Order: sequence, then structure tokens, then C-alpha cells
Amino acid sequence: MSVFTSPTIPNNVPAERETSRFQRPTRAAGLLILLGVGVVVALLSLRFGSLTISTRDAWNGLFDYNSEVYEQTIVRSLRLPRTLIAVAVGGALAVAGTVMQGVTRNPLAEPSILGVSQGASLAVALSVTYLGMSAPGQYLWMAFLGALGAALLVFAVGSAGKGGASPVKLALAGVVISALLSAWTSTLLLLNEDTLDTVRFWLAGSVAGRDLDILWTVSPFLIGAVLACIFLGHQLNVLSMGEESARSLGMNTTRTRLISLFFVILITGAAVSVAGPIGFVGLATPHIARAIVGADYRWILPYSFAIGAILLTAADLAGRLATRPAELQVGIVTALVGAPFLVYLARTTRVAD
Amino acid sequence: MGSRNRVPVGSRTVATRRRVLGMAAGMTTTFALARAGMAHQAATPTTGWSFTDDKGVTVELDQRPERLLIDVNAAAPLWDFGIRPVGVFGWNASETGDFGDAGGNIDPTTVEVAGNASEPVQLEKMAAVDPDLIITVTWTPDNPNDYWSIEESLLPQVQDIAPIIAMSATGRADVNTERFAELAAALGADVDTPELAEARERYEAAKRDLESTAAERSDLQVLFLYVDSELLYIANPPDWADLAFYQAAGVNIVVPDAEPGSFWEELSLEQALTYPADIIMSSSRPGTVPPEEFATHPSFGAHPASQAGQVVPWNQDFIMSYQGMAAAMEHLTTTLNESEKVT
Repeated sequence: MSVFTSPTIPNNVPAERETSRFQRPTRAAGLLILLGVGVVVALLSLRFGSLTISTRDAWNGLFDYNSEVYEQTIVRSLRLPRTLIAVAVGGALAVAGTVMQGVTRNPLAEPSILGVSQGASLAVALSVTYLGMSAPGQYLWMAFLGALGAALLVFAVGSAGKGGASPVKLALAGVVISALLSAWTSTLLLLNEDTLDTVRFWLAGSVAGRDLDILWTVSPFLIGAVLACIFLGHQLNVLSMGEESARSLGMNTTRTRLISLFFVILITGAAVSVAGPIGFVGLATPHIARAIVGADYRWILPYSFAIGAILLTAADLAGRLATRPAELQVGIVTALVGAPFLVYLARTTRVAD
Repeated sequence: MGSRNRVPVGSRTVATRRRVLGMAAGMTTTFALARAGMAHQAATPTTGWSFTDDKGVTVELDQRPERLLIDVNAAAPLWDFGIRPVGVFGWNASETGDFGDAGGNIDPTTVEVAGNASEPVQLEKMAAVDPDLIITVTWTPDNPNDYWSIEESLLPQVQDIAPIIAMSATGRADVNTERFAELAAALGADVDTPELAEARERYEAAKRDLESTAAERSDLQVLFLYVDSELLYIANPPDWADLAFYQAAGVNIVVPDAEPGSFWEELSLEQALTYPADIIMSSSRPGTVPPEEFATHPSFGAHPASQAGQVVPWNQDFIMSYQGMAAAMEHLTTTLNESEKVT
């Protein structure tokens, strides 16, 4: 954290001045409540689903597992992985989205605006097509590299020319590079249907049927980057005052953006590796958090994590309960909820310059 | 993340589901209605060529079509009846020449490929084949706009290339097989060859064997399904021409809780034990869980058929020729003979 803090940056920027509405104890209590809600939703996600399972079996599936009991196997081998993945991916993508919106000062920003998920998708498609990889454990590292490569490319293009990486230039570069990477992936998939069959499932964006091992593999990156991002609050507050103000306060805005984006890349690459591209959470959650807790990123970030985890877990649970005995992919549920929300957002929010 | 990124994926997901489902929705009237259209076949002109398909559509041409462009699912049975298409297309086509289990005996080196799983209809390639006639199958004979592999929005453009004939893939496989024989004969194939006579004998023998084995092993319940990483689809026998045929032969097939015409009951993987059975016949389409992975599958591992190792592949794209149906029936008979009652 100290790497960001320049001694000349005042500690008390406008967003950090406490208002009567948002006192520190209230915010802390709110965060605790949200974390509690998150735990409850996660437990509900273990307890309820397509199959009717008793509370006892759900409990035993976790703590006193008997592999002979089918219901316990379901809890342990199907519901536990998807719940953990939904919590981790939902929370992490929400934090990444918040950082993206702070860094680019664009309320419609989310991780994919930097081409990160497109880069990951392309890397997977390439490694399946040309390197013959077929297991998620093999191509997850490629997804990671792809995410990193895409973001570096976007940043290189966005930083070129006078004035360095401005939000608008970054966003434009992101749009262009994303389109390019998507087109390349589509071309690969169209030309090679064997690739298609292998990565189709991965590209669909889901928390169901995913391998928990992949989550464990990426968890050091995920946890490290999420924690780092949560401590970025002060820097984002300074950035939120605008480029000129932030610089006049002594912040090296380019360096701050680069470091922030590095963590966003880590988070998104890891999340995409585990669950494929999942939209909406990274976009919507920061706004919900802001509505609850105000403009201070030091609070928005942890709130975003809790809300994102709750949202994705709840969406997955809703998808399982809405169409019993079948189920809806979480990506479909988030899209159904996300589209109207995006319209609402576009109509009510003034996009920062 | 962004909707832009999801476009190729989303359309593929839809496409795959279509492919899985094998038909579009809306099968409301009966199959017999479409069959009624065939009665008009007698009223065709004496010069030129005409054929009334299973949608009741009569295609009339000045002369017998020579250059045929056929969907893989229709090309495989027609191949067995001696038809050699110039090109193939459709969900199961592939530039690699690997048409999966749907391809049957087709020699991929002899045909142009004008479609694949992500783009079943490639208009330019189809036009380049310059066909006299396009043939595909239909899972909904009563729906005039639903052709297998041909998206409805592309239908007019495909029809501009050549007239389309659709052969029923639903109903009863034995009936459909005879229809493919009729079509092959109408297209000029010699259906009285010794090879075909032999194939027919093998088919009849396979049918008799299946009937006698099914009678002996009527205690064995067979579950036909498609399972991928996220969902489980239980085949509804009345909708599947092969399963309806096996049912008529006496095979005890699990009937799920599905609407007629829906082809499947869609279930969560958590519902793997909803239908206990002694044998699981699992779709061999790409992307499905392979039979050998059932025993260790998170939910199917507990299914009695998985635990007994009685999971075998099912060619969901069953081939409606004597050779194709004989092989499918022999596979089922062997499975019934080799399986034990475990429920």
C-alpha cells in the first residue's frame, strides 16, 4: 500500500470526509451485516437446489460426509464447488469492476472493457487449437497470459501519444482491442469446430460443473489481488477528483493506474479461468455499493466484494430454483437482471468525462 | 463479460442446444398430417421428376436431379442406399471429414463440405456445389419452416440455391428407413443390389434378435440420455424414431416426464437418480460425458447403471438405413444380453 502513497497527497480528500449520513461505525456495521448476508446466501446455496435435500444431509455433506448417501455427495461434489466459485468469482469480479470504474472514471467500465476476458478467451481458443490442450487445468495458465497480454496491449495503445493514458483513450483502446480479440476468437471457432466443442462450455460463463481444483490453483492470485485492490481505496478517491486535481496533489496518476490495472488483470484472468466470462457483476456491483455506502472507495471496495459475492451466489441459486427440476446458467440469470439495470444506469447516471 | 464478447459463444450455445434438442419447438399437430401429403404423390406428371417429402412438399424438376447436396444426417442413410452426393452440409458436417457417429459410411474424401457445427449452412459453398436438389431431415414434419441444419432465416436463400426435400427423422425409424429407400430409388439408385438385399437380411435378423432378447430381458430398464457438464437431458422415447422403434420391439425404455414433441426432459445434474435404470445409453455427441466417466461422475456415480458399469454409447444421430439400424439394434441386443438386473 505504501507504494501508492506519496507524502504530498493529503489524506483527507472530499470523498473521505465523513458526512452525517455515513459515519464510520455505521459503515463498519453495514459491512458486517453484508458479510453475514453473504454467509447466509452461501449456506442457502448449499442447502437448496434442484434436488430436495434435508438440512441434516446438507450439514453432514460438509462436516460428516458419508459417500454412500447420494444427497451428501450432491452437496459436497456439486453444490460446494459452485458455491465457493460463485462467492470467490462474484466478489473478485465486483472488486475488479470497482477498481476499473475508479481508474477510468467511467461508470460503465468493467473488467472486459480492457479486453481482459476477450484476451483470456482467445488464449484458450489458441491453445486448444494449436497446442492441443483439452483440460481446463492446462489452459487456465494460457487464459491468464491472454488476459495479461490483452491488457498490456490496451494500455500500450491507450498510453501512446500525448498525455499518456487518459480514461477516454484507455476506454477507446479497450473497445478496439476487445473487438479485435473477439473477432479473432470467432474466426478460430468458426474455422475449427473441434476447438469449439472443447471450449464452448468454458466460454459459456458458468459456476456449474466447474473444477474446484482450478479455483485452488488460482486462489493465491485471486486473494492477493483482491486484498491489494481493497487497499487501493485512497488512491481511487484521489483519482476520482479528476486527472488535474490528482496530479496537483502530487499523485503519479499513470503509475497508480498501471498498478491498479495490474491487480484487475490478475483478478479477471483468475476469475475467467475458473468460471469463464461472467458479465454484469463487475459492472453493477460498484453502483449498488456506492448507493449504499457513499463515494468513499475505501468503503466501496469491501462492500463491492460482499455484494458481488452475494449477487453471483444468489443468481446461481435463483437459476437452480426457478426452473426446477432443470436449471438456468448463472450467466443467463445475470444477463436477465443485468440488461434492465444497465438501461436504468445509463438513464440516471451522468458519465464522467 | 461484455455482451460483445459473448456473441460467438451465445450463438453457439443456442446452436448447440438446438443440436442437442434436435428440433425446434411447436410440434402441435400429428405426424399423420404430414404423411397425408404423401397421398398426392400419384398425381405427379409423367414427364420430369417429382417427389413429395415428409412435410408434404412436392418438388418437381424437369429431370431427375443429379447433383445432390445433402445434410449429413440424411446423407448417411442415402449413402447406404447407393446415393453419392456431390456435397454435404449441416450440424454434423466438418471440413476435417470427421462427421462423428452421424456420418455412417459416407466417404468424406468424395464429397464437398458446405457446413460445419458452428455454421451448418455455408451459403456460398452450398451455391458453389451447384446442386439440383438439397436434402435434409426434419424433426417436426408438420412445421413447414423447420428444416434440420437450416436456420429459418436462411431458408429463402437456401431455397434459391435449389429446392429442398425434408425426410422425417421422427416417428418410427423402420418407417423412415423405407422412406429413405423410396427416395433413393426415386433419385435413381439401384436398390435391388445383392449388397442391399444382404443388408436388409441383416436388418431383419437384427430386428428378430432384438425382439426375442427384449422379451427375455424385459426386466431390464434402459435409460437414453444426453449429459454434458451442466445439464442432463432424458430422451422421450415417443419423439425419437429409433427409441419408438425399439419400444415397439419390446425394449423396456424409461419414459421421462416430458411433453410430447419436446424430445427431452431437461434436468439438473442433481437429478441424476430421478430415473433408476439397469442400462444407460448415453449420447455419443461431442461434448457429452463419455461412458467410462459415469462411474466417477459427481452425481451419476451413484446411479445403479454406472455402478454396474452398464453405460454404453447411443448414436443420437441414428442412421435410418438397413445397415445403420441393423448396427444400432445389434449394439442394443448385445448390451441387453451382457447386462445384469441392478435395480
